[in-house]
Amino acid sequence: MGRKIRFYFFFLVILVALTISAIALDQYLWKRVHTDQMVVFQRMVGGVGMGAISTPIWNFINFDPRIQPIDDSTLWPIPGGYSYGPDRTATVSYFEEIPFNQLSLVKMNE
Amino acid sequence: MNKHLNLLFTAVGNILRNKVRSIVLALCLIAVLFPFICAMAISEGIKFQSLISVEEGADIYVTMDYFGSNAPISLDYLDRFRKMEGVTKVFPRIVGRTYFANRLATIVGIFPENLPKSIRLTQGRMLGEKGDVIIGEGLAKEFRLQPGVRFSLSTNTSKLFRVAGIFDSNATIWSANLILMPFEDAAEFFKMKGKATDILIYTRPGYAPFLAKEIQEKMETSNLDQAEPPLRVQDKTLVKRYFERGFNYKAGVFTALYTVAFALVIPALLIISGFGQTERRKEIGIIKATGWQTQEVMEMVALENLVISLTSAPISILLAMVWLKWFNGAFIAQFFIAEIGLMAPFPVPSRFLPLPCLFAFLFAIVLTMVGSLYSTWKTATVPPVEAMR
Repeated sequence: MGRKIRFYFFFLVILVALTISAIALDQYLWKRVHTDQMVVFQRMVGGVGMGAISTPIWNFINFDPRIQPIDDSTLWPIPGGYSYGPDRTATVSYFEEIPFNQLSLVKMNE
Repeated sequence: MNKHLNLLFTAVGNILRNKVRSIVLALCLIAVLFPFICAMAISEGIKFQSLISVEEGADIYVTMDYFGSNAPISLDYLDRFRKMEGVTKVFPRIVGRTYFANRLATIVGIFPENLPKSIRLTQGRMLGEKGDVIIGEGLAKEFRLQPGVRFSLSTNTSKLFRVAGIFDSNATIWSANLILMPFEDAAEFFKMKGKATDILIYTRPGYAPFLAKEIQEKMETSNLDQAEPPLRVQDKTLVKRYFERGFNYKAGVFTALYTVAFALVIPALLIISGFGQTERRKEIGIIKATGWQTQEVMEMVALENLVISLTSAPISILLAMVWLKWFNGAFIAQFFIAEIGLMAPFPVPSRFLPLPCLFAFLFAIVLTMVGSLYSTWKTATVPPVEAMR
């Protein structure tokens, strides 16, 4: 085994070890977040924000389904919603509404 | 075992000898893996913050249901909810949106007594007098707001606010463009006195699902004569389901798109990894002429790919970490978090889980294998004289 090959193996081992350590450190730091300001803030406001969005643009659905659980742009007069709605054009996915069964069938006496 | 080790050393030797080819291949892999790892890390970071938002939020959220959409709820319901068994705390909240100059901002109105003392502000103080607001660091930086600055907004120009404090940007991404104010001020601002966007109910452990059902049924029965619109009741479990489905769907869609992108990259890599193909053909021809078997040639190339992938994937992960943690995901984060601009005004949440990192390594292996094994096999199966020509 040549010197260069040995050096490359050494570099590879260091690289992999460094990556694993970095991932482990990241995991550890995220575990500590529970005692941090995020928890205090969310407790204070009663839970705000869900999607990958920082402001409530157009459709609340991407901001927080608790605040507006449906994408009401699809209910607007233009069928299928406005074509330039960011929810429809900027992303290919969205928070889907969870169906809630409101149907109760009553058997009528003839 | 010795034979395999020797093949591994030969493979590394080949990588080092064909420097340009190896570097081009590694750079291509890094270019493909870097955005994937960044996206997964940001997605996991936001997911984690969302989980905190759900866990630390209320157990039940109640709003009115007007034509199937959420609508303001009367504060008269507060006492009725407080009297229910298993309820520990009830408070109303207003969450609305408004434009702060040209920036969309979230207004949250809560009772000042709900403000915890442990909340950290970068500047200023907590809410004290009427009209005091605490604003997010994103808004503060963009409009250079300082504690003491007074402002009004076009939704209700008669309402004058004063910046009392500025939130720490480490709170959550959703605090960046937030304006927190006392409940009464928010109600006056939106001209909705006596109403809240939702009522938050905290319950004893295990009571939430039953209470949610009870609220839905009881209130609707008691409202039969008054013909009030129905209530929309959401409990923590339902909200959690929203979040899980939403994020799994988002991650699934992204992975599906990326798989398509990978599928397109494979032929490109096939061409790139053919970089120096003539030289490679000659090499294979020579080693075949010296008595190597096709299987050994294939193994050596596979080991080459393994070593290249083992180099590229960790470099991509480390680069993604440096970019997201030190440079706050500049230019990249805006593809995954809407409305943040080139430089995010808050720390972009990124979480590096082992599984997506392992996927990145596997993707690299698949890509390099697909790009090289077939061409190697084709060369290795022709007579050495022809391969060397």
